[in-house]
Amino acid sequence: MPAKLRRILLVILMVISSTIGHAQSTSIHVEPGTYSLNQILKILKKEGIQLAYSSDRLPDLTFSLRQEYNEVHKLFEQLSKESDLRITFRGSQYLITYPTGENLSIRGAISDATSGEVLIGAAVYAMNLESGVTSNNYGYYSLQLPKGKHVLRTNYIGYETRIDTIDITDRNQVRNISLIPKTEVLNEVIVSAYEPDLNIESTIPGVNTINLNTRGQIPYFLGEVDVLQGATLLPGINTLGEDANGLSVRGGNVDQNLILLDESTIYNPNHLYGLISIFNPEAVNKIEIMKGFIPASYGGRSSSVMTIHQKEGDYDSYHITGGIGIVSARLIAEGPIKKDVSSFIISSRQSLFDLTLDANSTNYFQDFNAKTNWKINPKNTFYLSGYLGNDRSTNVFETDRIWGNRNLSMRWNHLFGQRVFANFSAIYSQYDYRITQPREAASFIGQSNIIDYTIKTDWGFVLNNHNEFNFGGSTSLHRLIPGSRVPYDENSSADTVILNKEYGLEQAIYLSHKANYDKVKIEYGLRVSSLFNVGPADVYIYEDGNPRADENIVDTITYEPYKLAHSYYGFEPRASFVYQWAKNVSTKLSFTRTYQYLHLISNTVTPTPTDIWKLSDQHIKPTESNHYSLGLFYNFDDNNYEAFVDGYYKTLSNLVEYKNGADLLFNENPETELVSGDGRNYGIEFFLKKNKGKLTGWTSYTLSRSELRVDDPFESINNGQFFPSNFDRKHDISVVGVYELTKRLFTSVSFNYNSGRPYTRPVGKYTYEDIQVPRFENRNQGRLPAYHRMDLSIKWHTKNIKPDGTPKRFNDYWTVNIYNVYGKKNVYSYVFEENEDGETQVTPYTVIDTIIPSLSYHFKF
Amino acid sequence: MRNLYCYIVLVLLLWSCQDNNLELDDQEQQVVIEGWLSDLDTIQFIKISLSQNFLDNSGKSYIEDAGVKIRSSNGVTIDLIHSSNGLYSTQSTYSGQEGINYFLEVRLSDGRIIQSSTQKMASAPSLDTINFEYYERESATNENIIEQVFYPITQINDNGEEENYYRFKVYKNDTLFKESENILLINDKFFNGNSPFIENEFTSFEFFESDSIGLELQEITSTGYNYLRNLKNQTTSLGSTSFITPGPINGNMFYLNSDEKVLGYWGTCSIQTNGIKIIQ
Repeated sequence: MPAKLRRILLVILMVISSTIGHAQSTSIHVEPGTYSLNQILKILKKEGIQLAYSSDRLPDLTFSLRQEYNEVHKLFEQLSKESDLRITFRGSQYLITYPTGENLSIRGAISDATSGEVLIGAAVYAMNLESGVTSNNYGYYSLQLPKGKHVLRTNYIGYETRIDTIDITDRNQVRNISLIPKTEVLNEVIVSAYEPDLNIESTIPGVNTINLNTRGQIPYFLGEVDVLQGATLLPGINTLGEDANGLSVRGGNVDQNLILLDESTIYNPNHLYGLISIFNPEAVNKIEIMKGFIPASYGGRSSSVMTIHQKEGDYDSYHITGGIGIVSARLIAEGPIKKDVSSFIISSRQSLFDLTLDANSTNYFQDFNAKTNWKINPKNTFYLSGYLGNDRSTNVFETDRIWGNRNLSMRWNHLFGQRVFANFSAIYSQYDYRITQPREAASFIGQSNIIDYTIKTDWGFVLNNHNEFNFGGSTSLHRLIPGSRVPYDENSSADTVILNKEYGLEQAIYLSHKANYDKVKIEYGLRVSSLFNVGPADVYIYEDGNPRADENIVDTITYEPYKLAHSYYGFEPRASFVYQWAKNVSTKLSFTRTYQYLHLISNTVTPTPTDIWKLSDQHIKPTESNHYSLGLFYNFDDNNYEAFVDGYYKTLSNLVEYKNGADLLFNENPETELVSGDGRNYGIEFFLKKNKGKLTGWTSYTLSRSELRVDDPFESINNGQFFPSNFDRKHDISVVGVYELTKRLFTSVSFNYNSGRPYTRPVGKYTYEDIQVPRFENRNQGRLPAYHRMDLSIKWHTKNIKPDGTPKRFNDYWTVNIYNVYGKKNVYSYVFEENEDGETQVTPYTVIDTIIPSLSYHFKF
Repeated sequence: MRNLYCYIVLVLLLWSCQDNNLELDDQEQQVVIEGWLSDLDTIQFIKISLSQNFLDNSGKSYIEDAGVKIRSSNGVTIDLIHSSNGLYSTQSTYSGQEGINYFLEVRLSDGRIIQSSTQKMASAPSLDTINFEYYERESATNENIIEQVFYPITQINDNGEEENYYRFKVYKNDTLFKESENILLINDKFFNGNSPFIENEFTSFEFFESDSIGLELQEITSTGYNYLRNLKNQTTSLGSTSFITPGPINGNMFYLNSDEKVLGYWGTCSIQTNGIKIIQ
């Protein structure tokens, strides 16, 4: 670790330790005697003690003090002993709270006052009781309060804090809360906790939220706001390089991330082979990445869960938003279907130029998002959202490839009684790859896809302000077509070849309990998952004691439709413990076990759109992941700064690896090319973020390892020893800064440095048929040079105020992005080749080797 | 703003760090054997060389004193004699026989014996049809000129009773396209028993008006096919944005009395040829 970095970390830790303080005891003088509570408090006020309590509901208590008290904390200890009073020190004053009679429930949805869109993770807080909750994933909250008047504070980042005085009078009170946005903003990305202190109090360590609203904008490749690219600036999240599909979270493979768009699984999150993500910045408003602890309500992947929420349409008025840049043009329309009851939003994005690096093909993409909501009544809301995206690549010989995701989700939110929230979802997810090759040999139309039909339900039961239970279940029918080829036309010499489809029923039920007390917060639960492989299926049986290979097949078992071929069960305990040393400091300890039943089968270093997914079956066991995490979280300077140090250790078993030279193309029994491995990923992440002022941004450092071991009796890799995975990056540094030059002009910079990716280096060479062949032995024993890059962005808002001082309806801004400011030629890989003189040479290959400026324009009216 | 400057200074410091030089370890040399026994009545040969350190440009080493024999399942033994630069050849013409199993035996001077797996001689289908097609493109030297680029088309009459593995060698004016990307492999997984035209696979071979096209169709074994497939993958995709993770390319040669590896491949191939001159 560089000395400078060590010093910075030391300073951070010292500041943290010095701030974990306690209330200072103050001198008083209270004689022995009998006092009412009211009398004691008046004496203390005269002594200069600052107190906070609700005088109108002060309990009628009497205390007999047998001794003289000279220290306030000793007096309070005595009062607490003799009664149910709760006395805590907050800031500069003592807060006195007391249990009252029957608790009643207040509940409802929290939403954007202008658009009506629900706000997830907004905090509702009863100030007089120091008790609060946050809205759930559907924007709903439920708070238990005593009968009477209360002051409610509602916070959400980017919105004005709202203070309401409410009078709880009856048992079944529904109160929807709307918050006013601070400024009229268009879509950009920033990383944030939802509200101050949530990063301290949340039971989910290692969660990062990417919100699409702030004034400045971090720089992006070609100016296209991209939530996945933004995520790579967070600790523990990486890619394999430019033009590489998917994300690696804490050293995991790209298929170990569960990516949910309005609860629907996204199987390929990238356009243009990885240049940008499929998420139209005009259509989504938030991404949450859970990489430390995964709540019991999620499962099915080994590394992380990324939830992406599509925007809801404005319930009040109609808007058109759009933008144009080098990558794409975007247009979005939204508005009410029935004012304050129902809304719609539709958006579309179309690439403008062929940006890929292959000179022999043209590549384009488009996507389409739509969502509608219907607030039937305060207790029922219905959502329907969908996504349709396509990439298309056509080469000069008419070969045409189309691939993309198709997603549809229907959700119904319902409030049962006072304390129960329920969501019911029906979800369709599809990833489809199609190739049309009209020329011989064997001209054909090929296709592979994966389709999920899912129903799920999630329930929340708020027992009281301290205890919440969540439970639910889901069933997904996975239908996988690994490959089908049909003749292109009647003249084709191709045969029809259709690989066996796979059917699997993946199910899960879960129950979790969240206990929330002053200093301690615990979330624990159990998820029980299962996979049933069902027919029709042909299962090959291989001879015992021999490797899985075509020549060792001794039997084939055929299963009829709907017959159970194989099953797996997994018990997935989850637990997260938070101890809050002070309001702004906490320690979080968590454990997550997951089972992954779906695997991306790929033998390329970076995944390609043609890679297929495969279910666990008789031969491929589910991947088990056990993830331990321990972190220290600290906010300081009135939440201006957020910091954390988070360590993790993760073991993985039954990872799907491929044999050397595996042939996975149209393979009827891919298990013959696959082997099972183990993994271990461990590291420590440091994060410091500044939230306020002219300069905002964050810096992070991750020290980590990601290693694999394949010790198969018939095919061990690297002699069965642990070796670095493709995602092993020892050092990873990110620095992001956004600076407000004027109210309408912002500049930002981002810098990323990480250790080079492991690569397999040749140990020799030989000649075969006059071709120089590098001789490779062990995988990933070399390391590419370190990667680093700086990007700049300037954003300029045009005037959005009319001469008379009223806001304009039309808002717009321009951004100038400079990608790779100093033109770093980062090495993506090495090419081993012979030069014209027959000499061996090693040539570094760089994907982007120059400065790339771009300009984009955005508007909304 | 001062912090921004600090970041910039930090970046420049990092930028000033030079990339590591590529370091490759020295390795023991390994024996490399290459050769194909064909069913043409011709001089048959194999080549025996030694592997080198990767950045060693001092020239290739050969084994010139081995005893080399091709043995067959019908009891025939053919000796191959060294001529030069590791090249061993039969003393007279010989043609492999369809359906006969062959293997190669190499006795090194230090007593180690190398043997190949058994390879069955196939019978390649006739290559009766040959033609050409063209596409147009801008000339690389003058974008105002549209040039016609020709490529061959042929047809395979595939045998539907078994899995067949084919390799094409393409000659332009009698010169072989011998780069690794020109290793053209096709199997009948998608056209078993049919007679497909082979067109799309030839589009990367560029011919021009008045060139002569020579095609050589080889039918090889599945192991030979997989060896060449791996060899092509590892010598052409490296460095691309989605390359296959490289690893050892396993051939079909092994020591009878040692655990060391032997590199390369020796196989059998049945050959058919045809040719055409491009005249419009």
